[in-house]
Amino acid sequence: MQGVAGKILRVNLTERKITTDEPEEDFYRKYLGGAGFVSYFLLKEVPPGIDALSPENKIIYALGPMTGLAMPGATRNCIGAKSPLTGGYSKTEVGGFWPMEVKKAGYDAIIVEGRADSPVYLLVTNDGVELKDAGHLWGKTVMDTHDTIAEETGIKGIRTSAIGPGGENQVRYACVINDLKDAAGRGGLGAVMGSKNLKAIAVRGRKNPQVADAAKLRELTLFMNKEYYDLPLFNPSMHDVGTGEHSMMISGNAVGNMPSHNFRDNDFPTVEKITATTTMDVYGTGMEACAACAIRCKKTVAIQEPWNVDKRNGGPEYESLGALGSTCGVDDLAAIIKANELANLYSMDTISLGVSIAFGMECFENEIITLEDTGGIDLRFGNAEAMLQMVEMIARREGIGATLAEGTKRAAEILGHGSEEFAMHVKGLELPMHDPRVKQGLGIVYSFEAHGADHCAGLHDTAATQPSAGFEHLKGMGATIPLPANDLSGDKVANQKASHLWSLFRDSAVSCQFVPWTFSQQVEIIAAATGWSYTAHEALQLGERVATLGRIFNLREGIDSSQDELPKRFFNGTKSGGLKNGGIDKEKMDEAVHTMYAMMGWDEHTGVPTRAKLAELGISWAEEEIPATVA
Amino acid sequence: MNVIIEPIGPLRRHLEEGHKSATVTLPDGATVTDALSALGVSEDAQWNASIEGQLVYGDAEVSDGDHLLVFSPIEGG
Repeated sequence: MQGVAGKILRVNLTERKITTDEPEEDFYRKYLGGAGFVSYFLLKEVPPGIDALSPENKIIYALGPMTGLAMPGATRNCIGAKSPLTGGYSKTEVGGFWPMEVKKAGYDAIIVEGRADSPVYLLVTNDGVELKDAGHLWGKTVMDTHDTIAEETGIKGIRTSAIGPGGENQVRYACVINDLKDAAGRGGLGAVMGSKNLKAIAVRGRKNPQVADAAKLRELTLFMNKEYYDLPLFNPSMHDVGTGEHSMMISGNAVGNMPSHNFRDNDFPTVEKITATTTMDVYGTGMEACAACAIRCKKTVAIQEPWNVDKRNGGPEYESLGALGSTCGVDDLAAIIKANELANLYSMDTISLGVSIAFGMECFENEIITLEDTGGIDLRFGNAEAMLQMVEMIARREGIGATLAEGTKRAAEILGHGSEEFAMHVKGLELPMHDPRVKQGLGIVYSFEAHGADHCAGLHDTAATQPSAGFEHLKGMGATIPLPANDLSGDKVANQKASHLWSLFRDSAVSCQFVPWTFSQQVEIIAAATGWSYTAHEALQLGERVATLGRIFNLREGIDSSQDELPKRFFNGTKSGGLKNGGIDKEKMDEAVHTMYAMMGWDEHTGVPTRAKLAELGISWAEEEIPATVA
Repeated sequence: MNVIIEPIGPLRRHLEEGHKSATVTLPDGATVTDALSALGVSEDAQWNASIEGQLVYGDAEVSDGDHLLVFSPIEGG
């Protein structure tokens, strides 16, 4: 095989046993890598009904054929497990340098099973794989963990994928951090590492697998590096300030897309104070890149007063600026940047973290949480100091922090008194910073997607409202016509389906969505790397396979179509701002979700994949995993 | 009729230097696309537009005194 290492590393922590799988080429072509591997192994190997934080769960770190290629957007990995936050299927992607090292060390994936009886970290090199004691690392931040491993192994250029105290304390939205600042953010997979006593996976590799057509890959790389500023899918501000550029956040606020005060208001007059442009103007120290990428979309920032922020820990993305900022009513940029740094050091997803704190703030303002509960902290919207204190308390599960560490769905169940009205999640996964009242097609994807409210899984409606070169590209994947952002017709569902399947192929490849590769180019890259006559049809079918396996995983866990629903808040407008004229038409949204089921080859009423679709996708084996109660 | 157009971000290049907005004069029945064409925004440019916080599209009619905010597609990440 070419373009892949041909080996999957399997580590059983309970037995401290390390083995290697060598799947056949047919398996690689069918599931590709990344999200494809995650979907397969979760459904095949994780028993139904287990506690996500028990030894029975498995965590899968999966690369794809693109991972490690010396081209932009190609150094990423996917991580998957049963989510402690949603109780269902979970996968999340991350970049940096770690994925490339895993490939060079000779593996396409690492599957970790069981639970170690004491803290460990895994060291992977071309010379071997070993479990090392991590008792001295437990309690350390991600940065201290990385630095200690680098120092004690003495391996120059070693890369880590690690957790901090948030993961150790099993905050249900703890994330996994590659090196110091690249987050595999969503779904609480850092808590799964914590539950397994797995502090980190440290890797250094030496040799990339051979590719089939190096000249073609070089040609595509040169094209991207020379032309990307002029490509229709490229956003030039990504190179300058990363996500969250000034005009994007200001215009978003003007039309109601800038969540504020827990999605209650979406009218944040001081938004200019917290944009990425302001971040870079005031605190920026430079832009950095993942391996071999010319885009350089990662901000670095430094602050000395009133809090110290080390530039090694990275700067906030748009999602973090929104979640820890406007969603909490906070416009103190230094506090937001500090909270973002703490989230990286402690390994917590900034989206779920910010939305959980905002939930706490709304509960506080409605006297569901009291001063006694907070230990005297005035947990009102806009109180930056309180927001920072909550970050610390959540990471340590102290006081009310222990409740908010459960995520908004469980926290509302604990607190009661109508607090579920303030819990902004789908299936337990907190909403990202793209309001489905504005981007209603994305709301369809938030609703039906196995993972929950994931902004990377669908088309952002505001990018497809008019004919454009970018939309022409989407047509090649099945999109129909450009439509208004609030349209929920069958044509909109078709557009979203096309974009969703592309995202799942991309996450299997594994390719970055910020690099403006077209779908066709990504298919070409897979063909050039592997030597397969890989086609666009195969790529879209892979997307369907991933979505369908995720769907069945959820059905097995009791997560059915009744959970394919947005929070009630989104069916109403706001008091002022761009959403003052109303929210989503619930009847139309429900109809759109059911139309999506039908387009996916699932039962239009129940959302259960049909036998015919499973056969078409070559996954008839999954039929026996569908519970008899819903089949 | 007169329509005020306020581009945010890269589309500001269509304004005279130092200006935050421009006023264009249009015939009755003119659309958002007509207004942007009057400012020199090409047909294949990608944009979103809003009037009083509501997203509007190319074929929507504009009215005298409308304040049209124009910006790049809002994505994020």
